[in-house]
Amino acid sequence: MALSATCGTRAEVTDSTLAEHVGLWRTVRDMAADNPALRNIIYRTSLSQLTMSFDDMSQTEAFRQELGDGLRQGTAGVNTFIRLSDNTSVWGTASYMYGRRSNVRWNSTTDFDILRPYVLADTLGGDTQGERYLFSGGYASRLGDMSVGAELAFRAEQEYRDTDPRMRGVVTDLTLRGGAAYLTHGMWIGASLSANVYKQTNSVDFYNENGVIPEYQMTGLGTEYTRFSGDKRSLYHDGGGAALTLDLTPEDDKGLYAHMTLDEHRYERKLADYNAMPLTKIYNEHAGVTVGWRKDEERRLDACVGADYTRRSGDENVGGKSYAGSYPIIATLTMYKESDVDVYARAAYGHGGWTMTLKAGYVNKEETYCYPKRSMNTGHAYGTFDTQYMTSTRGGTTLTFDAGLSHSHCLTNSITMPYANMEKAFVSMIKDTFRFAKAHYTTVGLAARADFPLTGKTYGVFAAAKAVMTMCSESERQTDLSLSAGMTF
Amino acid sequence: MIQRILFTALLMAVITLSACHKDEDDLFSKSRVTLITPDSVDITNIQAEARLTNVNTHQVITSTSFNGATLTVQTLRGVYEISVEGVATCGTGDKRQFRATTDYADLSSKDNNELSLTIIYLD
Repeated sequence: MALSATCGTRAEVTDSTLAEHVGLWRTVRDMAADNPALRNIIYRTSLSQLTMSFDDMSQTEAFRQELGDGLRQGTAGVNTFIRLSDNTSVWGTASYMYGRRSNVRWNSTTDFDILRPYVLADTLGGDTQGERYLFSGGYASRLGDMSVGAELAFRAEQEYRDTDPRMRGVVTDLTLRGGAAYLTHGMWIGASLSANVYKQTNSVDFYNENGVIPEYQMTGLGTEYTRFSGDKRSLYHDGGGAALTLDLTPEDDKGLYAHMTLDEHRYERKLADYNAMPLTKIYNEHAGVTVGWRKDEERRLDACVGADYTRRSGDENVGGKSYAGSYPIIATLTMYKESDVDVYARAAYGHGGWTMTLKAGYVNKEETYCYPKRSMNTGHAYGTFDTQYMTSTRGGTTLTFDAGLSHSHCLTNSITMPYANMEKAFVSMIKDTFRFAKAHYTTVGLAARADFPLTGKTYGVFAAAKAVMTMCSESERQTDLSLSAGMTF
Repeated sequence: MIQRILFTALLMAVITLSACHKDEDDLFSKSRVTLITPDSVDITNIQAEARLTNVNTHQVITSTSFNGATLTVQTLRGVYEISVEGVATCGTGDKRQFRATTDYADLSSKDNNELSLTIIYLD
């Protein structure tokens, strides 16, 4: 499918534009778009979308208690990529999301996936409401054989509960990214560096004095920092990190390509009550590499292999004797360790309006708490098949149909826990977590989108729907429904 | 030009990798707790149980391995409440019941931790 360049700020939305920005083949090419300088090279057409969407996810039983068993959210936003000229482009995003998460257990902190296991938790939990504001903008320009670009992204989020225990988390996350790329011998060689600054204030209140329950400072695999658990319910999470990406991408979309990413982020949990005493710190380190070959002509072909390694280690600070309401830190011990390895191979084929991708891999996760020894390990083999068909009707309407099937099968699992020395509530929580960690999952999904150009106008409207069902071998399932509509211009 | 770019990219990767966190894996240390008498009488033998409670995790370690008046124990580095109760045989041959406690003992050093506790006779 030929891709045409469209200049100027008033873009006419064509099949080529949608194929480039919305099509499944985009997932093959857009790995290098993490680098702002290469995004300028990869995307040749302009597209802006104003979108209103509604998403409903529900599980018959929470696959992960800390994330709840349901999420309903509505989002309004605008997303734009504009080619100002053949050499220059700008892009930006602005969105607002309001959502409700149901039956959250063992987690009273926002951004669980980033900060785990160092969260505040209790045995009761409940539903939470959340709002998220996202703003980002970037600019890139090509100067001869060089391309340079920069991007800024900001996320502000709050999550709260209006029944006891009344958790509240307020998050700000600012990311700055800069990149450069150089064209030589038909290959773009790119490097980008990004840094982010993160802060969360987190607290739990009880309005009913008779219903106060302990809040635990969780430290991983069902352990908690006993000395400061109970009535210490105000926390800060501070941190941030940096990421480096290196890319090799062919100028004419024919040939070898490579993508490498290295990043480290650190987040510290501090007690507000004791002069911001640092309690724990989580270090998230990630390295990933993908090497492949692709040919983007009438028949589109791609094959690649890749590996991702994530290492998370958690430090606990040992508090000494209290002086004047603050605790000195007399030692730091690395008690929590997690290691995730993902190796995969992927192939993609496209012809005309058809695109198909097939991916197979193996994921191994190992989680350890050093003393007293606790561990939880799983190994899953997975395979994913996605297909998309994009076509136009005589009236100029573009129809896009997607179907996907994936399966993740647990090959190995093991757990070591001192159940005899654990409280009943913690035993139940750990057993539930392991039950879903070692399960098999099968996912089936269908999606459809229709883009209607308005006669005589340079803009159009679109509507899309998506339904996904995930079946878990523990006789539980998850359904995801998504509806969206908006304008493209 | 390409060599300069590759060198710069490699340097950036090395700098990023070197910023990786180094785990603190020295979790345990050896501690020697020596019991001393208030009247400076030598102790020749101790038959007692020592309970060491980690102040931060509330884990309890018990030990009866006294060598003379000294207990050697391997613990997770941290701060402990220590309580020792038993019978001390003094140099004079007298056997007396005693207790020795402290609510804060810093056993966080990676090297050997040394601590002295003064016993209180219960009889």
